[in-house]
Amino acid sequence: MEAEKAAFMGKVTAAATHEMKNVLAIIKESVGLMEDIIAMTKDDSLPHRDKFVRSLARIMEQVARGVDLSTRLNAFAHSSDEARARVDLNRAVEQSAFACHRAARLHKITLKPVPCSEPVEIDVDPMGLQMVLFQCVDLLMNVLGSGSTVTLEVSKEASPRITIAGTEGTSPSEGVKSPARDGRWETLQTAAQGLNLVLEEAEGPGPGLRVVLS
Amino acid sequence: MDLKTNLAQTFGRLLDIPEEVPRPKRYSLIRRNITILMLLITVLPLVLMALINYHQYQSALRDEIMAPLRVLVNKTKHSFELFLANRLATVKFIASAYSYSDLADEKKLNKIFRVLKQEIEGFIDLGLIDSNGVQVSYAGPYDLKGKNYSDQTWFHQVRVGGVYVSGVFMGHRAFPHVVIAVQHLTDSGQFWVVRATIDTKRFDQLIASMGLDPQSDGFLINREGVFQTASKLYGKVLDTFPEWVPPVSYEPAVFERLDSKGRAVLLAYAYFDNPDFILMVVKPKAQVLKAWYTLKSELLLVFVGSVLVIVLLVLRLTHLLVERLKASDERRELAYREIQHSHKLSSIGRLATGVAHEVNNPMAIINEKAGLMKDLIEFTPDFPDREKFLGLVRAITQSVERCRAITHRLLGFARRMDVEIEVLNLNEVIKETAGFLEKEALHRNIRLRLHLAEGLSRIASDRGQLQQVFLNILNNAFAAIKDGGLVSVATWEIDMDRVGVSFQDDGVGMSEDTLKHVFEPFFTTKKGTGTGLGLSITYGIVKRLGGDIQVQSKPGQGTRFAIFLPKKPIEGAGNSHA
Amino acid sequence: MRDWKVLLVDDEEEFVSTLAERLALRGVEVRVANNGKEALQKIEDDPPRVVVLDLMMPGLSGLEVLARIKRDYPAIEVILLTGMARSNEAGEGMRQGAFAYLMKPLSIEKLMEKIGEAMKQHTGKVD
Repeated sequence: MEAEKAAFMGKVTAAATHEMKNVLAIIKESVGLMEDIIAMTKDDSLPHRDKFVRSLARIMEQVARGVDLSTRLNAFAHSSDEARARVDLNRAVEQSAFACHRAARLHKITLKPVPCSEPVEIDVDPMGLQMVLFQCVDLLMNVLGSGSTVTLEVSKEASPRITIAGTEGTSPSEGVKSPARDGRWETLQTAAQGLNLVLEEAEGPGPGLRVVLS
Repeated sequence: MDLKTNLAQTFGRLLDIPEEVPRPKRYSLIRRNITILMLLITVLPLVLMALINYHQYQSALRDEIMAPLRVLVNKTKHSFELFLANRLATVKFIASAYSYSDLADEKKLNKIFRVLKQEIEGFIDLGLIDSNGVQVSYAGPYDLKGKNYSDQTWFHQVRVGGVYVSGVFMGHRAFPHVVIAVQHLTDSGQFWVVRATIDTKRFDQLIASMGLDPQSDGFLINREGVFQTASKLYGKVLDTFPEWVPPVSYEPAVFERLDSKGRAVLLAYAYFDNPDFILMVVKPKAQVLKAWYTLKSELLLVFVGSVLVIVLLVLRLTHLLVERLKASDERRELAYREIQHSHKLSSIGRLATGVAHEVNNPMAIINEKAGLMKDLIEFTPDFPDREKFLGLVRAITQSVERCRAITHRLLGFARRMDVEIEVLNLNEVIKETAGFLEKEALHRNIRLRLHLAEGLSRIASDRGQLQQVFLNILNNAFAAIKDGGLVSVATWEIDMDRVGVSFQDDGVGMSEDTLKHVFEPFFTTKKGTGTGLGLSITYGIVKRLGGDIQVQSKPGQGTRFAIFLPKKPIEGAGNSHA
Repeated sequence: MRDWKVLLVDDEEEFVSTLAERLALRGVEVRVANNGKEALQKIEDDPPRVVVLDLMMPGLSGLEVLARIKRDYPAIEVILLTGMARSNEAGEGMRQGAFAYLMKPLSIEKLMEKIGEAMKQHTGKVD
């Protein structure tokens, strides 16, 4: 039931992003055409010419932003297709940073993926990994104050790992700062275990979590 | 304590199957080890007990069987000794009762001999030997008078011991006999020897009186292993006993041996004090221990039977146990997967929600920019290429609107992954939903007819999702029909478990090819305007609610959607993870 | 020139400036704020008659800003902007006394209409 739901949701999301891109393409073409027409018109004959040029440029920027968003969401949704695939953790943290971007923006928290200098590849359920990272960042953001930074650092020590660490900003949050005290922690650990991942608290100056390949 | 921890460790190791071992092998390992363990702890004590019992029974039984044999040997030995003692006493009596001169007188000696033979059986002859070892007088069938015995061993032995009983020998008499000699000392220190010979017929009688069965054998041997009486099985008198001479024991003893013929035998014997005879009884073991063998085979049967039962039980139990283990592992794994999937689902849902909102921002900006351009065009009289620009701007705003619809649906979809079950009146839900479309129906002069079954069973389902389903289908129907068209909705009872809803329109209908794809996400025929999510969502929801949806259509003849809904929610539909 | 003093609050700068320009084209006196804090500051400096407020903002959320406006300046009418229809926040906003809510992307005509209605309401309250 849950698997079907997840697969269905993935499918729907993938299809929706595809459609979004089509729509964005229409906008892009319309804007392009207008830009062409304006370029062909003599300077003085077009009122508000500068405004038009500026507006069209802005629209192009926003289209690019939209395309970027749908591309990433599409990649994310498709990652639920395969139960197991070779995943580069460097890409995974960037995807994850994107996935958590909105939540982070609302928390006024900066997300910073810190990729490893070389590719760190593991065989894993890509969607499952994203899910674990997503929840980890969420747990961490819940204990951090606004203005904080969360880094997702990939490293290749004894085994490939991602360390998600929080650094408090100017207005630190009060109270307990252990993300492991969240009610979701145990469930999340269990879920991670099912993916052959070990989830543990990372030591450091700020609150942190670590995802290690078991 | 050490043993205990050792044992615990060993058993622990047996049951400690590493996680890395692949599944099927893991279970067969567990099965094997549990079986071994259980067999060990059940069969081992049984075997031990059986062994101990066996030995106890064996010794008890053996004692019981051997005791009579010992008694027999003892009794017979006594008879022999009695016989010999009796004869010795007789000779002693003669030696002390008569004087040398009486005995030296042949006539008197013959008279004594005659009486002796008359009264006591077995005497063959009687003689007097003087201190020089010369036969002074003799009564008997042979002419032995004047024979000198001084250099014979028995003469020296009788001088040392006072009495002498010889072993059995043939001598010149040519039949087995025994010599009894007694020395008589006078007060003056002189001595003479009375010597008597007795035949061994009496020995054979004594052995016969034991009443041995035909397979058994009884005989006398001396310490050198020479037969003193004839043996049925092993040889004649004065032959050498082919077996072994047992260790000295004056009490009857029993040995188990394999004899020279290869038979397992019980050998009972006892040494005599004097002369150095050994009485022996040989019995075949099989016969003696017959009762024991019977008991033993019964014991063995019981033992093998119970081991068999235990083994079967252990195998069966282990099988059950491992099956249980497997089932519970599988259940746990399923639960893991469910958790995982629900996390996955919630992640996709949350992400989709996030991105949908996120996409809305650039869309809003594009919308405003396009709007601004439109304003500029409209607010400026004689704008060059006015219509062209307005058309392009409209294309942009329409695209933005489409995109909004997509994100809107995606959000709605993510939100509606949760099912909330309540008991509801399907007819009411349909009336409510139709209410949404009343204005459009009025505007387009569409006839929307509801044929709702009266007293329709209430069903347990999700109101919001049903509304979405009905709205989607009605929207499709409205899009397919011309102004003034007809849409009719009907409800009815199908059976005990299900109710049905149908939506019939008289619109353009669908081709066979379209019908095939109609429930696929993003399939749309409404080029440019539809987002294509409607019917796939509809399909997904109906399935999730445990129902089914069918569509019939022909181009030009309209379309009919039929939805079948369960009256009771399917299992798992109430789970909410989103 | 209409006497419509409006404050637009949205964290998306490009969106809010363009919208402001379009409203200005229609004779509305518009100021913009890019976040809740700035909005409250600008309201304090010179209270507008209508605030067009985006619900989804980092920092002070739209609902918080709405609550403060309604507490400190009950006469100011607030039109909420929301990304999605039927969102819970929009409903909550309406309960807290917002005048209307509109979905993004906006239709300028609809916005003008609502601002107009809100103006009337405001005038009614003030007079």
